[in-house]
Amino acid sequence: MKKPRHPGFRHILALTASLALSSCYLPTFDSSISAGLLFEKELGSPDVTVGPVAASWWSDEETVFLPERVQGARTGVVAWQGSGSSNLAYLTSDANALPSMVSMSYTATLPSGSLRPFIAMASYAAGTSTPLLALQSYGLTEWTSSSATTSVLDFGTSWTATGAGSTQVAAAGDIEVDIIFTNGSQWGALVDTLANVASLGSITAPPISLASPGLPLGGSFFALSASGPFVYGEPNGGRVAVWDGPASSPRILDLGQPLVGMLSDGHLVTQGSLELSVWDIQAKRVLSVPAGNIRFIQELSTASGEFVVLTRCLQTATKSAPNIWAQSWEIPLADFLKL
Amino acid sequence: MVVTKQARRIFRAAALAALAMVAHPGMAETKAVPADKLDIMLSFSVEGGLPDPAPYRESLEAALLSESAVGGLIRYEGPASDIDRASKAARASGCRLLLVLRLRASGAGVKAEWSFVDSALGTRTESREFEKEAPGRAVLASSFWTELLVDLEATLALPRPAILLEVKAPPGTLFDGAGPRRVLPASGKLELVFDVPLILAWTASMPGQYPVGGSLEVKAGRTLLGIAPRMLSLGLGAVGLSFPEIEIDADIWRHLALRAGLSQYLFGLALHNLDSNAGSAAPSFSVSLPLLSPYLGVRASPFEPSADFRPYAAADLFARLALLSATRVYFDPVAPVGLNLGLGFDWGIQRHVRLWMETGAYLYPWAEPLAFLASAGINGGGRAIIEGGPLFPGHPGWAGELPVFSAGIRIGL
Repeated sequence: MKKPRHPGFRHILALTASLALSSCYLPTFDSSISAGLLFEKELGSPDVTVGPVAASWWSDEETVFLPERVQGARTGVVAWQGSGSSNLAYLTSDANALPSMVSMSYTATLPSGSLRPFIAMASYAAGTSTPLLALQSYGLTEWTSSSATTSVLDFGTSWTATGAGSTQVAAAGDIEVDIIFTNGSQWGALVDTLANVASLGSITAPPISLASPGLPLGGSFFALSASGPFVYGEPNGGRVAVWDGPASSPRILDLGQPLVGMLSDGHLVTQGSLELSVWDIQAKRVLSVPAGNIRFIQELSTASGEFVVLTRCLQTATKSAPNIWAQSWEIPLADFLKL
Repeated sequence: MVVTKQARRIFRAAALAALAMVAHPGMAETKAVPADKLDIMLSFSVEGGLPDPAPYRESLEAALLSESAVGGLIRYEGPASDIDRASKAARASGCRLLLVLRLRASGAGVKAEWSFVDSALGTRTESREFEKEAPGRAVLASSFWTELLVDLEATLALPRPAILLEVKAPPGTLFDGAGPRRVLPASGKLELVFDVPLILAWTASMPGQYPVGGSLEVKAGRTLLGIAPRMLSLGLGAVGLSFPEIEIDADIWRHLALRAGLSQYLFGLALHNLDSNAGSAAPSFSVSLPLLSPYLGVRASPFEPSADFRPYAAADLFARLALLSATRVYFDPVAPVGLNLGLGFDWGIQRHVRLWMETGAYLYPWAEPLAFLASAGINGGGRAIIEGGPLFPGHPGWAGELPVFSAGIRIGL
């Protein structure tokens, strides 16, 4: 015998439907943060933690800390992806003062989702007080300093830089700058030390000619030296073009994750939303770990050896602006490859 | 229309029965009547110009009430020719017998013709009659109805088929049907005897088992009701009213159930995007997180399992399993385990289906507070997030979130 429905049944159904329609519950879980915490158990405690710092923005997108190129750096650039644009702020901090965040006036309007290749080029200290940034995205026309208004290198109008990166193959204290250009029909590259590049002022044509990679514009670009090998990773994708030398035709590797760096020993570094991988130039995987929001930033050469710099940014809600915690790890290169 | 004191009682019972029939059709059918004395309904009609039938009726009623087996008498005022209707009226009034009497003038005398109808079984005795000279008051009060009374006694002496219900259920089962609640003895059998066929609505509660119930028609003869154990229920719900979850409940006591389930966050409905994504080219109405959460807990209620509305309190221990790589499942290092403390209610919408809603707090006694806060996003996920430091040396810290709503249905298996 069917039980008669109570008159309140309709009200309960209506209440449930209303709650379902208005519900925005998500569990307190972020796979990137969880994977990062898992990776931290292998890395150990961070070498540097700066925070909390009141941020000057409201964005739920990932935030990345680019420390200056010195060991134990507590200053650097914080980059985050806004809606349709990437944004920068300068984080100042030392042992005697509270950390603070200074918004940088330079903001580059980049295609949404292009933060990863954008940040692959780290800031530069080299004993100076003006870290330099290369914005490695399609449409790059100049190389600017962190003071935001100084044009360090003018690429002219004939050639457009479509990707950039840096590698730690120069002498300690300096880095090698890698920029790839196209004028629509031809491709070329500039691979030189930062000190030399900064003194160029402007270029009318790239000194190295390359065959077209056949991949979308706006990716990351690294070179081991001016004679190669050169690698170009498509933006937000896993395909990588490899030129063994300036005269070589590129071969395409499918690594499954965006290319974010090239180590001084020639290994390639890729990183997706959860996984960090290291490959040899023949696309053989030598390392793969769930790293989450702990990001590969750069390689750093010091008097005590080569270090891989990994960083993490955590944002937490407050009643006003979010708080930022910036953390970094400096892992000896040999140890990094054994993780 | 008063016949006797006893008749007034019967009239009142009949009126109540009639009211009950209007309010709850079928209720009178479930009434079991003791059989030590019986009530009679009298359908008295007069034909053929009998000048003054009142003394006949009054003397007949007095004669019937003088019978030791007769408890009461009710007059039937409807059309005497409609026996079915009269029989239904008798059954509704609790009268086991209907006496249909026709009286008419026959020359200088009087002719009586009658039969008895068993209102419960629908059987009718053969018609009988007598014809006598018109009696005086003394005869009416003494011997005029003798043949009819002898026939009544003979009718009552006829064997009636037994109306039995045999209930088979696990010993200790609390059976609630006709009459008071009964507990099944160690034999697991219970025999109930009824005077009349009926449609019986019943429920049964068994310690440690899900309550069951139903209805059945108890006919003349023996009717068997077997009650199988039912202690499990399947719960289907949605955490946050978004993420489907599945649960098995086992009632281990009338007021306590164990439950085990799996909340999954691989797929969830984001119906709020119907509003927030208005104007977006491709609004997403689903959300996915690589997180599974198996849980084990208890649900306790002071109410009986058969209650329509049951508030309850619940406590669950749950794990957070993160799918952080294609080959391994990890305990979420941010908050590997949690405790859900909830309050809710369930509502019986059908015999074995209950709607439930629950709200509560998630407490994570072993959490990484900073990473937990960061995982909530800069808007806090729209709910209160609590975080605290280590509870003892070496302890990372604790965190909590509230409130969390969930709802669904539970189906008895």
